[in-house]
Amino acid sequence: MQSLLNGADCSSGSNPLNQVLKREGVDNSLFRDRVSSPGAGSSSQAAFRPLGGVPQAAQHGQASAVPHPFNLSHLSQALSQPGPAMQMPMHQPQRAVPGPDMNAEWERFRSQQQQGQWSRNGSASPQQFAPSPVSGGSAWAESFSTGKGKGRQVDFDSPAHQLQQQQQQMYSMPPNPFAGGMGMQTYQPRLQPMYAQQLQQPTAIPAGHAEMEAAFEAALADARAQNDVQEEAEAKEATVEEKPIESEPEVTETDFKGDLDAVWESLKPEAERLNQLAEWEAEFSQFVDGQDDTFDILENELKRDDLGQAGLDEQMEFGTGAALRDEAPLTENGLPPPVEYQFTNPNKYDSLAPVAAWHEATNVLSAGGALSDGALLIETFLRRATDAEVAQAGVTRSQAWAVLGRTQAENEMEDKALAAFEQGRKTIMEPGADRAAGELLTNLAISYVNESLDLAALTTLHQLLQVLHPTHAGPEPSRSEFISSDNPWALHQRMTEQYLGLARDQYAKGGSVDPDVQVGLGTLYYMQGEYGEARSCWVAALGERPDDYLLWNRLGATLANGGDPEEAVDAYRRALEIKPTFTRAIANLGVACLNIGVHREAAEHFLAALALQPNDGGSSAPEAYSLWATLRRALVALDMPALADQARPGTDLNVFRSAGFEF
Amino acid sequence: MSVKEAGFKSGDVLEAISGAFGKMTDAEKKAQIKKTNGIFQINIKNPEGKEATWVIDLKEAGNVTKGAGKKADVTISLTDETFLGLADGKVNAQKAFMTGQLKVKGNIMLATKLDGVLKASKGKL
Repeated sequence: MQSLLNGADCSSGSNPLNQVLKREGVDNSLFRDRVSSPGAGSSSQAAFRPLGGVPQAAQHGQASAVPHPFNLSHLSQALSQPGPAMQMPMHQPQRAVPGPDMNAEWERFRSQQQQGQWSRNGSASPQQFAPSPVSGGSAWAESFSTGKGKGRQVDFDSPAHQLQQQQQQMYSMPPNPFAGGMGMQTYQPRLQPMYAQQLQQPTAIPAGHAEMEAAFEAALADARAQNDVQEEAEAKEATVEEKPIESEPEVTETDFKGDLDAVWESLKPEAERLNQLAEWEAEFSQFVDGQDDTFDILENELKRDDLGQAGLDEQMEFGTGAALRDEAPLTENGLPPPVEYQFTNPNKYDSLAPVAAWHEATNVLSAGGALSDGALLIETFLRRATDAEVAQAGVTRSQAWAVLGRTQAENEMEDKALAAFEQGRKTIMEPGADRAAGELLTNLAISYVNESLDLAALTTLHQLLQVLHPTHAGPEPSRSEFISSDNPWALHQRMTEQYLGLARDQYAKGGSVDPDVQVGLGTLYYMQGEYGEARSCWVAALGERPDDYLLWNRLGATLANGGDPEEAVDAYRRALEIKPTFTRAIANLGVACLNIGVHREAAEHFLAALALQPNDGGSSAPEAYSLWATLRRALVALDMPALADQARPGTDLNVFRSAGFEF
Repeated sequence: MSVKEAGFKSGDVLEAISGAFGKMTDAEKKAQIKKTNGIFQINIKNPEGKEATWVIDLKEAGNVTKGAGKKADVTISLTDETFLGLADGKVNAQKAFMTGQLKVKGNIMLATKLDGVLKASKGKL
């Protein structure tokens, strides 16, 4: 890990990023234009500035010497003078032509971009990155002094995380990164790759945009010229704002041109620009994850009551609740009506003695045997074992239910998993059961999330806090709290805050990362569509439990649903290396392939997943419908309508084998 | 019956959702309805300022229809662009809501399920 951080291997000349670094100073200005609207003190600039510059500077003695990308003060200066304008290519910006027209143009563009930015900003970014100056300073300092990111600096050697390593290496190219507790300058290098690539790209610029382009060139040159002079002034600003610049290296390559284009595109209609900004924001939030300060930033986000609320009342037409029609079973805690677990009957393992069945189940599951067999063995144990036999087996019933539920979930049998977890939950308050409580409730909550039963998931996550960390539990989530808010995610946010408080306390006390708490947090972020934050939670948890294939799958699903199926594939593969019979990861891999557009592979993964499930005609496995349905989609995409028609529960999988599919 | 609408890209997405419902077996449809249990009215405004309405019924019929008709449990208003972003995962519903790009009226708990309804297939945790 340390070698990653001090970036020893980054300095090799063969590293292309190195070259890119040399562009320092040039790059920033372009990005500044792109990302934040110009003019010191403009509202959108403020939105990206979590702290007043001064407190930061004070707290971070060694501020970055590189002007940070969002400080536009020099740009506005440049623009207020007869601006030097330059010609292409962009990296020779020194030739200047006075251009009053350009200034006008630039102003126009500025205001436009500012608008666009603002409307985008209203989304989550301002909340995340613009804590009020008052609270911001201390939170930031705290994140450094407490070193929240510890658990995230994980040495992954899987392909999935090569990328991450690269990123970390990149951070560490300039002077000592996390080690000194000063992250600032280490973010800086991220800019350069992006810019350098942009600059190196032959840019075909529409004639109509010539003026704009000139304005940019002007800004660019000016930034360069003023670099030295402004270093000090800007050093103190080099803070969180730099973070948005980070993006995955591969994103950089593919989307980078998009970024550059976006500058010009922003002259196009509003919708177009918003779209670009949305993409940018995706990178932005991706960037945020994995950083030390995520906790603090998010906490600030959650605590700010002024953000995202501005004008909310005017915007919303909520109201009256007149349309509130009841969902079928309206429980106050959102939990569905209890369902008795349906044991498989007959069960081929019923001839085994219950205790022997339990031990066999443990063997099968730990040895990577079929999940279906493991589930059957636990079923027969749970159905037939006396209390004495349960004790003899060395487990509690709630533990056994927890393992059964987890096994069913791994086998992509969510309904059965839910039923098993719920059975286990009944006994969770019994003495000795709390060993299983954390895992059981976490996995139960996640099953509810998969079923889109958000309130049930929140209730379960709350119970987890009550059992294991009662001081952080807070009030119980309820349907009335949920619907009394105007915001469908208000309750999610409150629970996230409870978990964040717990994580921070744990850290303050023991300095360690509790993977279970990270999983809870990751689940909460995932529910809210905050895939970037969720990702960093899984990564933090993986730091403590690198061989937890469930976590790898969760990381994969988060990446996939966050629009990054390619990277998700690596995470799924890692899960399957550890647990080859992990049906859910196979099915998820199929979904990722479907979204990438490799339909044949997708179909084969779905078939492989179906082959691992118990084949009882599908009658007792409604969750398998979604597997069949996605298989059907893949077959339709492959232009195999006849086979697609046969892709229904109960069909013999040999039909597909004889059609040439291998699984 | 096609639910496309000229000038609305969202219509294509809804058409795809509709097609997926059409291909489901009754049992599959029942499972989906049980999971969602709501009628969504989607009001979409396109860049030209035109508005169109669709109803996704995942409570009774399990289908998508164009035009307001059934009484919806939740009404969601947004732009064509935002809708497409939600469907392909590029837009976060919560963020869109916070910025007023997505408005919700009715049973707000159903708003949290919209994501699952629009995305054809999601990875599972």
